[in-house]
Amino acid sequence: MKKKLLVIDDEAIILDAVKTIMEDMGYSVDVFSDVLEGENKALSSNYDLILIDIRMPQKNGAEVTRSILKAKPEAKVLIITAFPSDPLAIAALDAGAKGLLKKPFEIAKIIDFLKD
Amino acid sequence: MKILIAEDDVINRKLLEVILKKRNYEFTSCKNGVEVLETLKSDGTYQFAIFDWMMPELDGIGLIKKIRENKKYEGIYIILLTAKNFKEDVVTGLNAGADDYMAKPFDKEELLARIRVGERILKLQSALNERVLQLRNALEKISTLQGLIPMCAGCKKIRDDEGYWQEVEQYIMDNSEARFSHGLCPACVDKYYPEYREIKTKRTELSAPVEGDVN
Repeated sequence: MKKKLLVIDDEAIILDAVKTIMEDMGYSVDVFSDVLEGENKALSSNYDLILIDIRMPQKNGAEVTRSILKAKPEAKVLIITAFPSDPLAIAALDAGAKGLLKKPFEIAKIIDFLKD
Repeated sequence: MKILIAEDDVINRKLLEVILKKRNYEFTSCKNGVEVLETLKSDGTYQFAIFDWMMPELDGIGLIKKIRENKKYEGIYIILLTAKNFKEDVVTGLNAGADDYMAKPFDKEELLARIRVGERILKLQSALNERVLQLRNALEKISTLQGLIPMCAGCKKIRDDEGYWQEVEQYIMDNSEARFSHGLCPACVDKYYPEYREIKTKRTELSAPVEGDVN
């Protein structure tokens, strides 16, 4: 069965790059540039991995991580950020995110996490 | 708004008090300029004043000059009342620092109208001061990003005031209201995700109509 990935990021090019490359590799990829829509999707569906950008309008990645893991403690969340020392990225890890991908991240890193 | 009155003549003072009381103005009455200065010393919140010119000890002109010398009282709106109504007197009164001038005997309605003019000017002044304060606060916030910023020539980190090297984004966020959203420019998309363009190109080629096709 195809492994399912969800990506929430307000930058369209990041979403399109991940979706295009990973679908070509055989993964199922859902992407959302609207943070609230992405959060709802994460709460209503099951994914093998959820990638969340940290700095977004409306709601930051730490808050989204907290809300998803509260409802689904078994969900596997990774934070994506351009600078890992961002206090919000640290807050997301404290909230239970499994790890951190530094932008621009390698697709291979995502696949590693999907294999774990 | 509190009004400070200075009038040595009992009848005129009473008349002023009655007019102001009837319109619910809060006021303090003084008999001469010296009393006014003492009152201002103990309570500096007066914004409006009506002074008679001719008073013993310290007359209206001397009083206004003394008040205007003090920066703390420069915002007080002052109406000067006087029986002297030659053009030169008006000029002398206004030059001394009065904001308005009324000849005695004054008309009650005209005085009230002039008080309202003063109130309007004070309100505008207060709104302007508030705006200046807001702009000054905003300027203070962005001023920290002016001047020479020490940056590492290698990794592009910035040295903050405490001597720590910070990421550019962190430094700017700490010193301004700006926030970042990290995307990728087309050149970096090609550099970091070369397969992205390849897949896109392949898909475009596949979806393009083949030459000679007939629908």
